[in-house]
Parts: sequence; structure tokens; C-alpha cells
Amino acid sequence: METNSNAEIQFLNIGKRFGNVWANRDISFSIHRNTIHAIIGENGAGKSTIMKILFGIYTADAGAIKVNSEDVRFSSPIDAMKFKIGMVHQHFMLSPAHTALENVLLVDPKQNAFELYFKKEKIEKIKATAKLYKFDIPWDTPVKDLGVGVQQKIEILKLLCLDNQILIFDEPTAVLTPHEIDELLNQLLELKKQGKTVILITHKLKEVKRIADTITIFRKGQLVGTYPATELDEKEMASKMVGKPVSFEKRSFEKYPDPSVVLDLENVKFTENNKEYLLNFKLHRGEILGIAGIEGHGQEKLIPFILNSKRFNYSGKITILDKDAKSLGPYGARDLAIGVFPEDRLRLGVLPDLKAFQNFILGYQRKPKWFSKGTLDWKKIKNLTQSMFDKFKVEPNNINLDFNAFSGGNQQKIVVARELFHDPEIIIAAHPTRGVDIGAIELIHEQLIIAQEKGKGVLLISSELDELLKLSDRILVIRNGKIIGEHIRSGFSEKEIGRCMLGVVL
Amino acid sequence: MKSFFGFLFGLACALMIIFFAGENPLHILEILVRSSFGSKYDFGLTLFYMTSLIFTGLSVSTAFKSGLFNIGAEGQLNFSAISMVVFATTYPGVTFPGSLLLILLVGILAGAIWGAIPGLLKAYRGSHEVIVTMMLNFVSAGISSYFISHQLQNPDSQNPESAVIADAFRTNSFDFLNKLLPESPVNVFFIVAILTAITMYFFFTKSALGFEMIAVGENPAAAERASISSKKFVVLSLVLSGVLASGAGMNEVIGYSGQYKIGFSPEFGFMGIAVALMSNNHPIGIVANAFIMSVFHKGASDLDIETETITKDFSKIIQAMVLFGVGLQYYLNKYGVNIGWLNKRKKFNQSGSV
Repeated sequence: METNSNAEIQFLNIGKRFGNVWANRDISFSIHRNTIHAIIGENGAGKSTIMKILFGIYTADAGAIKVNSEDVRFSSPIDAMKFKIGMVHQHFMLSPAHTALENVLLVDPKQNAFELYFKKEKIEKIKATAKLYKFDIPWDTPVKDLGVGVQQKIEILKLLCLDNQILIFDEPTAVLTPHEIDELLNQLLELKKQGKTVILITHKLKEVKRIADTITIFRKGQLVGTYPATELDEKEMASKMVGKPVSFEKRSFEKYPDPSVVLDLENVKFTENNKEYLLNFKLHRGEILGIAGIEGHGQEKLIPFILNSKRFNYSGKITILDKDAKSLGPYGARDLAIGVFPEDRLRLGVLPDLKAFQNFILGYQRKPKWFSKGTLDWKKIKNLTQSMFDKFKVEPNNINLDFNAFSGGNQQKIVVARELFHDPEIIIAAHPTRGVDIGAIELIHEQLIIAQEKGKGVLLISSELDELLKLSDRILVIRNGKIIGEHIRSGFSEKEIGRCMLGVVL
Repeated sequence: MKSFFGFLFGLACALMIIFFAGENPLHILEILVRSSFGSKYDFGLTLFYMTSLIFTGLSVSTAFKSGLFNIGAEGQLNFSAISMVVFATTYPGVTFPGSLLLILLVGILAGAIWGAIPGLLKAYRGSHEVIVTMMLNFVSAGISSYFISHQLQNPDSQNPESAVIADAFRTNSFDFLNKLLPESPVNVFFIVAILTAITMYFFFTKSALGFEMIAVGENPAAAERASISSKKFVVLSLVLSGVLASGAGMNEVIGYSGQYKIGFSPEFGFMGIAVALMSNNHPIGIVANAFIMSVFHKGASDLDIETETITKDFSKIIQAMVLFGVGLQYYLNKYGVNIGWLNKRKKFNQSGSV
């Protein structure tokens, strides 16, 4: 690998092992001063690990790090901070009860226990820094009342006030809306303009393409290479991350000729925890209907309601596959041909401590298919599970492992395989590619498109607008429990949907 | 058999403590073995304890499977026992085949009720099952004390116990196991206990209901999504737990003494917790561990008589060491810790990647 004496940070043959597994192996690359350096790779590729080593959260088992040509060995983040390195974590380190200003004041390492806390010059310095980097922050609002976008700004400001030179961002856009992402990316460019070095860990290639100067790609704990951003396009990046060519084919959007409705919510109204929900939409055969919305705006109630509307005290009418939901038995819509990818697979979809093949019948445990002579026929279940494992290329291909032992992408593949196994007429996919690597994303999208082409109805709930724009025929926006906007494919506009999600009325 | 090394390790620790206490460990082992297997009577008594422990172990483990901690097996078996005695003394005229059926039904119902109370309170009122089952232990003890001291006291006895119920309610007349090991209290319920354990094994591995129960225990939210009502299963599993515990009461009342004696259970309900934990809730493991526990329980009184230092309390330490050993093994397995011969060695694989 290239070694450059001008490099601000140099990694030399870094290795890190967890148990028997190398999370990083023989990693050597350098990061230059005053650049935006993107580090990309699939989940578990080792990109976060190397940055945690740089920030002193982990210590390397092999190799060395040089900062400004000086050998360093950090055993804690405090050491790293002495070298002006700061990190914005995926989960914010803020005190929710304190105001924005107090949170920034809190981090001053020179603060004396007996000194006055709210010193005028300190506050002024903070506000000046904010102004310099064009941060607009409501100083006196408690952090818990602020949106994630603002919280992230406070987090960044904390690092800037410590005069950090090198800023590491760990998946900063994962929690943001399209509008906020836009703002953040501009902010990062601003930081670069002011002379900072920005390291961006991400798997969103579009953002990388937009702002990065240099790209380092990781795959399976190893370095693939470091490239100037101008040399690679998104497709090449993805191929290098996965290790094989990736197709970014879009689906064809010829309207399926069958206009019949598979799922119909007519003026459904219910109240839960003092929050009112108003759901009104139709899902047709052969379409992918996207539901966009900021998380926590009611989409999490959608699946439980459709599956088991009887537990809700609702007005209006819900018809599933031409059956009034009120006429369904105690197993609710589970008796019908409906497949659900839950929004949080570990919490809502599986029994993590049981074996993969045991998980394969969850939700369908009463299907006569599994039984012979009135008892569960595990041999048969295992055979069927194995056939789906082969079809979906689950790795490791071992149905006897605990569900927990699989990586995120493979866990999701198992869930998808289970839900598609019974050939459902309706598929509800909630955040189907969250925390999933590119290979699995491709497979899951492909399955949704196949289902759509076969004339099934697909309801796609997602907070990733890109995913919705790529797949959906129509997009509905949900806000505060109400469905407020419908966007037809021909008139899709990312900005407008984004505004709709934020509740900005035009 | 995973727990076997843990068992040996715990036993070794216990023997070491015995050694430091000034006794010869081999001598203690010899007493333990003689006490539980020495004669037909001794062996029968061991199996009698084992019967009750299988029932309570299954009871506790069934609750564990659906994520509940039933520490009320003691109260459940107690309530079931007193209910059966009350029934048999109230209707002494019922004739043979029906009488046995009815008293079994009463016993099962009583156990079910004592399990349903915490179940319903947990499912629909959110009361924690540990608190409720624990309190119900005292309630059931109070109820039985009331009946024995005010209604049913055996006039021919100085002990707090009821009169013996009619033979029609008991299994003694046709009990082949009892004839095989004469004088000893072991009875047909030993067979019933083994069969129950096997049934529970098939229930949890082969039926959709059993699978759903495990699902509720593993992940209630996911179970709810799979249209399994976790509330229903909280009640169901505690009812089942109560019914299983009532088997220990039947073992005493129908199978052996035919009367309610205050203190007939040396806390079988609580020993059942240990049995269930030792066997990691596996029904067949429960049979094996119930046997181990009953051997130690039986040996405890003989150790008290035959040695200087090992009192009844001291033998509890021996039991505890064995329990710790088994528990240690369980956690080592679960978290993949490798300590020499305690675990199967896993190959250290350097070439693995993320």
C-alpha cells in the first residue's frame, strides 16, 4: 500500500482479533490532511473496528499507527483526544435533560470542580465556533426535545470546541431524514473548508460519491484498496465492497393489468396511547406500495393492526384478500396468505436463542404442512428449511445453528425465506434492508420485485427514501399516525416527499 | 450429559470441604450410597422422594419454558394435597373406581386453581408471578393448618395430621411397585411421574402448543407478532405448572400415607427449582437430577446420625456444592468459556475471518 510522508494518519499493518476471528487484518493506508476520507464496506467488514482503534476504544493486536509521522499507541479515547482526534458515534453521547449549551459546556476537560460553570467567555467562544461553522442551534432547549439532526450538530460542535483536527463520523446519516442528510453533507464540506480532516464511515455510496475526496474500501476484515473518489462510480464501489459484480438494475414499471385490491383500509381510525391513527389506503395486485415517514410516526402500528385488528378498538373497515378482518379467527390475518418482514427482526420476528430451523415455523406453527400423524415432524421441517437455505444462499449454510449465530444480512434472509415460503398474496416488508449488507439487499429487493411481477401486493414500509424511490409504484407518506400524501411514480420528487415527511405543507 | 462434569466437580468440592471438616470423604460417600441403595426399604424411600421431585421439577421447568418463575410449586402441591384429603373425608361413601378418578380430578383441579391465580393476575393485572406464587405458598400453608387443627385432626394421633382416608381413594390395594419394595413408601406414582416427564418431553418438542409456549418464553413480542397470545400462555403455563406440582401431593396422599401430615413435604417445591435449573428444563434431565437430589436428601439424615461433624445442615452444603458445580458447567457451556477438562475443547482457528 501507499505510504506517504505527508499523510496525517498512517495505519501500518494493523490487525485486530476478537476471539478466533480477525476483524481487521494487515490493514495499511493513510489519510491526508484536510480531506474528506470515506471508509466503506459491508456490515462486519471491519470499517468501524479500525476507526475504534484509531480513537482508542480498541487496541490493535498488531501493527502501528502514526499521527503526523509520530508513532502513537492509544489505550483510551482520552489519549486520542490529546492528538486532536474526535469521534461522533452512531448513538449520541448527550445528556437528554440538559440544554444544548450545557451539553457543549460539559465536555471541557479543563473545567475545575470549584470553578464557575457558565463563564461568559466560554459561552461566547462556543457561540462563535457555531457561527464559524454555520451551525444553527437552539441553545436553551433541553436536548431531549430536539430532533436527531440538531442533536448531531451539538455532538459535532462538542468536538469542534475541543479544537479537534480529525473528526470521525460513524454512520452519521443512518438516523436522518433526506433534508437533514443534505444539511449534514454541506456541513461536512464546510468543515473541510475550514481545514479539518473528516473521516466518514458509511455504506451509503451516494453520499460518498457526493462529498468524499478519497475512498478506502474494506471487505471481510481486509483492505481492498484506497482510491481517489473521482476514479470510482457507485457501481464499482459496490462491486469492490461485495467482491463480485453488483447490478443496480431498476425494475420495470409497466403497470400490472390486474387492478383488484388485496388489502383495503377504509377510513380506519383508532386511538392508542392518546395518539390518533387515521389509515386509509388500498393495496392492489402487482404493485409495490411504499410507506414513507420519519420513524415513530405510526408506521410501527401498521403491521400489528393489519395482522390482528381485533385487538384494536377501531372504526372503519379493513378487508384483507376479500375477507372482512372482523370475520377472522383468533390467529387473525396469519390464517390468510400474508407474509411479513418485521421492522425489527430480532425483537419481533424470531426466537434468537433457538435454532434456525425452529425459527422457520414461527408464525406458521399450526400449518398442517409441518405435521405428520398429529405431531411436529422436525425431519420434514429441517428438509424444507434446508431447501430454502440453499435457495436464498444463507451463510453459513447450517440450519442447526442458533439464530443468533448468523450475521444481520443472513438473519434477514432467513426471515424473508420463512415469510415467502408459503407463497403469500400480500407481502408487508418493514425496513427490509435495515442493517443488511449489499448482497442481501440485492436479494431482498429482487424477491420483492419477483412478487410484484407475479401479481402479489407488496407493502413496503421504509425510512430509506432511496429504497422507496427505487422500488415503489406509489408512495404514501405517514405523519403523526395519519396518511397524508400520495405520490405516483411518474411524479416522484425526493424533495417533495422529504418535505411531506417533515410535515411542511406547501 | 453436559452437566456431568459439573456434577463431578461439585461433588469433588463438597468432598474437599468434608475433608477439611475432619471426616473421611470416602466414608461419607459410602454412607451416602448405603443410605440410598442399602436396602429395599432405603431404595424405595429414595424413589419416593424422587417421584415428588420429578413432579415439582417438571412444574418449575414448565413455567421457566414460557419465561415465568414459579416458586409456588410448594404451595400448589400443598393445596392439592389438602383438597384431596378434604374431599375424601367429606364424601367417604364413594365407591372404588369412581372414587379414585374423582380424587385425582380434585387434586388436579386444586393444583390448576393454585396455578391459575398467579397466572391470571400476571396476565391481566401485571402482578409479578414470583411475588404472587410466594404469597400463595403461605396462604396454602395457612389453609391446610386451619383444616388440620380445626376440622380434620386425627383423634388417635398427637401429631398435626388428618385421619387416614378410605381405601377406595388410595392406590395401595393394587400397587405392584409397593409390593416389589415392601414397607417402603414408593408407589405407582413413580411410574406416573416418569410417564409425565416423557409426555412433557413430547409436548415441548412435538406439539404446536408446546412450541408456542416456548416461543412466548423466548420472545413474547415475536410471539405476539406470530399471533400467539402471550397472556393466554402465561395463564396456561402456570395452570399446567400447578397441575404438575399437584402430582407431588398425590404421591403422598393417594399413593402413600392416605392422610395429610403437616410438613409432609420437606420443601419439595423449592428443591424442584434446583432440579429444574440443574437439568436446564429438559424433562428427561429432570428425571436424572431428581434422582441425584433424592439421593442426597435421603443421605442427609443418615449422615447426621452416623458422623460427628456432618449434621443435617452440613449436608445442605454438600447439596449446594453439587448445585454450584452443575450451574457452573451450564454457564461455561452457554458463554463458550473454555476451562481445561471442564469443557470439550474447541479448536482454536486462526484463519477465521469476519
